[in-house]
Amino acid sequence: MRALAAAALALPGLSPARAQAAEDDEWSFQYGRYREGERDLFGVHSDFDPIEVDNLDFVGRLTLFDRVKVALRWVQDTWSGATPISTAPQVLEGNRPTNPDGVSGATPFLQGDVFLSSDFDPLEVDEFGSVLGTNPQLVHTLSSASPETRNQLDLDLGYEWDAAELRVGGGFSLEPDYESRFVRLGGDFDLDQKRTTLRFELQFGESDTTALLDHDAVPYIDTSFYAGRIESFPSTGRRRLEDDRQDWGAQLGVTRILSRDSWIETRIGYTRSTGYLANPYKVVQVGFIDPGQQFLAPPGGYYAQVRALLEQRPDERNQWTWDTRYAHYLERLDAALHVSYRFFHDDWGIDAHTLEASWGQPLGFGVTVTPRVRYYTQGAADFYEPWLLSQQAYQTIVTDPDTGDIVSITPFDRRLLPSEFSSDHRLSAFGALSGGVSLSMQLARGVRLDGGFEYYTHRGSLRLGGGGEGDFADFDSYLVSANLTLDAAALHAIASGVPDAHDGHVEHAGHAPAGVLLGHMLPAAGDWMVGLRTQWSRQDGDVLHGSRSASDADILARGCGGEPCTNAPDRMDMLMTMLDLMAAPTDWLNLMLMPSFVNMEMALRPLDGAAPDVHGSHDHSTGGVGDLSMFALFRLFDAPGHRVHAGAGLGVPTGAVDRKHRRTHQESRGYTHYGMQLGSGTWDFLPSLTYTGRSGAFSWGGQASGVVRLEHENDSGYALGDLFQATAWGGFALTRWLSASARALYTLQGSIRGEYDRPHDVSTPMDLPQNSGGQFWDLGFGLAAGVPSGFLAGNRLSVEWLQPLQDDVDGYQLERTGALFAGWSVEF
Amino acid sequence: MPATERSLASLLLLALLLCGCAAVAPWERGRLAEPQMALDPDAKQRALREHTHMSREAAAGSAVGAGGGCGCY
Amino acid sequence: MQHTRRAFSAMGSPCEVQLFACDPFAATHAADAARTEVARLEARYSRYREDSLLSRINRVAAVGGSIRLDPETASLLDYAAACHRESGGLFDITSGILRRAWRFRGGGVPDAAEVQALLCRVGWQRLDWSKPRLAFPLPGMELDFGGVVKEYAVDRVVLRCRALGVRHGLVNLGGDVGIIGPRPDGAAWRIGIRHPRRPSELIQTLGLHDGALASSGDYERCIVVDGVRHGHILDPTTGWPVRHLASVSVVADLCVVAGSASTIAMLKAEAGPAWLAESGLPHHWVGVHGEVGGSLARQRGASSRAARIGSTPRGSSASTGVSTPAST
Repeated sequence: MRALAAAALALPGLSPARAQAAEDDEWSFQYGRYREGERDLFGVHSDFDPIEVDNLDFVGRLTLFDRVKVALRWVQDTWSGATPISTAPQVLEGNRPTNPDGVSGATPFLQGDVFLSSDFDPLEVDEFGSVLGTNPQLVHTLSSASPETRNQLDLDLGYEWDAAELRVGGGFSLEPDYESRFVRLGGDFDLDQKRTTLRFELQFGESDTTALLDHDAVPYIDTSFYAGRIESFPSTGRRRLEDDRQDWGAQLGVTRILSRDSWIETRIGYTRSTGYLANPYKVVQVGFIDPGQQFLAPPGGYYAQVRALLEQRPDERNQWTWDTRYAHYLERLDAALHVSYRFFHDDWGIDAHTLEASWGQPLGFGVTVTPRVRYYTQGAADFYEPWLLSQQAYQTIVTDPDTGDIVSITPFDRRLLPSEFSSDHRLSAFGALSGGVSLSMQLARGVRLDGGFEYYTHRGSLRLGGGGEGDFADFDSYLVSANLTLDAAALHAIASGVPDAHDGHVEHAGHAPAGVLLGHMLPAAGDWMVGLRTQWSRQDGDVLHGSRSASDADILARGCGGEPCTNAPDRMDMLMTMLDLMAAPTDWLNLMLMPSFVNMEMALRPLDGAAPDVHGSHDHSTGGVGDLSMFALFRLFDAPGHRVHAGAGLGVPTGAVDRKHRRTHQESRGYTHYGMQLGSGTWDFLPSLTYTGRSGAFSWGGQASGVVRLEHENDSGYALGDLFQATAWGGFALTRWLSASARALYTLQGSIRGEYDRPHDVSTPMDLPQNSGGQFWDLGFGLAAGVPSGFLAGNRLSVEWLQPLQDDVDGYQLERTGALFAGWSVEF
Repeated sequence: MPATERSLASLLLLALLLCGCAAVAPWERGRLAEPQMALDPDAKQRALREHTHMSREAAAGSAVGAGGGCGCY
Repeated sequence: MQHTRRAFSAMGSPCEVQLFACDPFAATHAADAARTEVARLEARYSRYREDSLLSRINRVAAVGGSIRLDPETASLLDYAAACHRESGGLFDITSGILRRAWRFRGGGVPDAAEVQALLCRVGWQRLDWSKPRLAFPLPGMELDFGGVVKEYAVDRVVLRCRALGVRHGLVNLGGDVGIIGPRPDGAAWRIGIRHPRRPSELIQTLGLHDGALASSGDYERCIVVDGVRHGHILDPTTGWPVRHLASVSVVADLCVVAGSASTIAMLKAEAGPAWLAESGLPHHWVGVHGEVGGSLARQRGASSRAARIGSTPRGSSASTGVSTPAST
């Protein structure tokens, strides 16, 4: 039979499927959360939270004109928590509790004195100066950072021929301290009747680091090596490191179908990086053994003064990788076994191996479960050192014996230190084992849900061949993710049958402007709608009291209740991203689920005449998962040209209300401003009543909606005020597919009830519950575009700008500048 | 007899036709086209896993592929 | 997504193409391309057309000459050679000449001498095939691609539609079915296998996401004489129709492979079922006495196995019926 099959393949035009099935057109949304466990600080309790990352990933892929492929991708990472800044002997007590309650403070202790034995092991010494014994234990010194958000946008274009594909793309990534731009070029070539595929990828990236050094630690860090690249700001005491790097990468691969049940792929890659390759937030602690100060040392031992230096890495890195992947199909189980191995080598002295295996097992009914396991091991970089010792003084100070004035300060000789050093545990020797499972559920209508979980442990002891870093560097982490994928082609098999497409006109009536929630009900039972909406709001300008601007003196005196304020809010931005999932189980009922994700940023300015703010920090940001809303919509009235529906919703308090300011010095600043929390913290009832009408090219509507808090306080001791909104709009269809709208909005917001139940800093009006709420009038202008027919039918894009007309605030609040709403949805 | 058998077969046929989502046996599909045999069965989840691994391991996937950006936490 | 169905007549059988495509123009374009491809192959290899390439080859064969073949015909010949080897000499594209003894549009059983005379001019080994030149040392032979071209056309059409971007659809040329892609919601196409003795009934229904299904049977163009059915598949070593299996259906990635496998199984008669089992391809066979077997056969109880065949033969053209709902 094989001979027949082989002979058949020789017939012109008949060739087997490519190993790489073409990616289907799709829209895909993914949320992931990564969280690390606590680092072992050997008895010290740290109030820092471990690293936590929320990741949002949206991708849209389309095929145009049969052969042109377009892919657009947006990724957002929001991360917060503590990371190690350095490693030091435990005896140095870098994570020393400073408050009586034994909580590890914000400033890592990077300086100090250490006694060493004759073998240079750290000694434990009691308060009387008696040596208790050696303690070689090392420990990470932790430092926290405020939440940061990274956004990345990628655009890729591809062109497909019968036996080849060419791709070009690029993108950029933005973070407060790091900006990256990259381009890439790639292609596939099919040979041997598509049994073999050759692939190449080329990539170039350029990145800029603009890092504000950890302002609590920076007074204690020696940055002299980077003198030319650091800019100092004496007024705020901040230092900023600016530098850049370039990365070139190339990859060549071959994929081959081995049999009807298996394929194999092998790739080699080379990457070259130049420029600033270090991490501006990592330091190496160096014990300086000053020959002139050894009289302080214990007998036979040494006395060292520990100082911290910003790490130094080579300014060039060449990396080689070799990957091999193999997949085998097992017929009896309908399962696929994937095995892969990667070898990594670079000129920093690191060799690493990765072995991964997964088993894809369909269970029937469209469900597939895939357990996987991974083992990783790496060696240490040549210049990796947990900490260093140097036989020289940190600095030699010469004083005038007569006057006592300092004559000269000679710093240490840099040439006596290694030219490169880093304590970053990523460059140490260790092994990591991880295991996880993914679940994939294919629903009808081209909708697929995926979920995944992975648990990861990083252990020095797991390193292949031993010699891994000590257990102080061990940590565990988990990653959990959920993904919704819509197969664009399958969706539109049904979308082209969507009613409401009168004469090919897009039905704009029944759709409200972008800023109105729940303005539209699905036309028929069995319909679905998936959408993505973002809202960006800004407050900027004057602080208002009632509807008038308040002067700084006024704010100072009365803005913070009985205590004088130190700062006033200067600017506040909020970006909220919402995923709308709507389904119509019957003709008269729609159900909707709306998870949200929030990022907030606030900048403060000092008030004229206020006492100087000891805390020194004027920027705050928070970010993470926001509240989840669930709605049921009921169709009350539906006649040609007029529709009325009512909604009853429930706000689920999934958004955090316990976000705190970053700790500075030895004080905890407690909860952040009320307006910077991510959710309401209470279960809320969300009623609404909506009317929409249409006549010819004109459409109009109105909505009354509210939020009623069902609890009188949340877990942090307060509850947001109730909300009432009334809005009315009119729209006009400019063309078959484009319409414009104008809207008026009135909002009545109640003040916050209760207050934080734990200590929190009151330095701006925003820290008081009475400075919230008020009445607000806005005018909105919007545009909406819908696709009436064709393979993109059912897609809709809308934007709206909400312009504040009048704010009448309770207490002292920052005035609003406006809000921009943008949304995309697809009905099917 | 033929009439009964015919209507039975027709009923069976109808039942089979309505059963659009019955689990299909392995031989009814092209094996290499099976989703679990794809070159990248769960691309986005894998991208996220590799992103987190990259932030904690030195052997980052070569810069090719995922694009720039640090996000190194 | 738009459903397009194009039914037409070609290669002596009812044919249809069903497609689902987002863009109506793409669907029409693909359906037209399908028809054009089938017409092209029919024009080249039909033995009923004087102006076809096959007729020209046979005119050369009649006088014992030689002819230089184009790449497509050459590969078809190579494929036929592979089938000849795989079947142990039973699949033979030179056996068409035996048909002259059997006049299926009427008449009775031929006499043995007539068949013997024709047998002298049958045999793949009697050809001189050295690509690209085909020579006929013995005059009076005749080639017939009928056992290959229809299935080859199915595969060509499937690939052509895929190349035009169609991802969902099927092609059915007189019962030889090729799947372009599953239905838009991911479900399989339901394909029925015709009962060899009861033409309006299906003996089995399969769900296919991908691949092809082809059948051979003794009920097409057959005559029944004295209660004995004589099909049109003739054993090239004896000259007589094979008589153990009533129908064979095979599923494979390519229709040509499925078609050749089903024909070879029919030719192997008693050894057919075992050969099919060994081939590893999913298959279904029905014996002339009503027994059913093969990896696809569903055991529906004693009644199906004990079923006796009805006696009235009905000559008809389609060996399998594609039973799918007409709309989304």
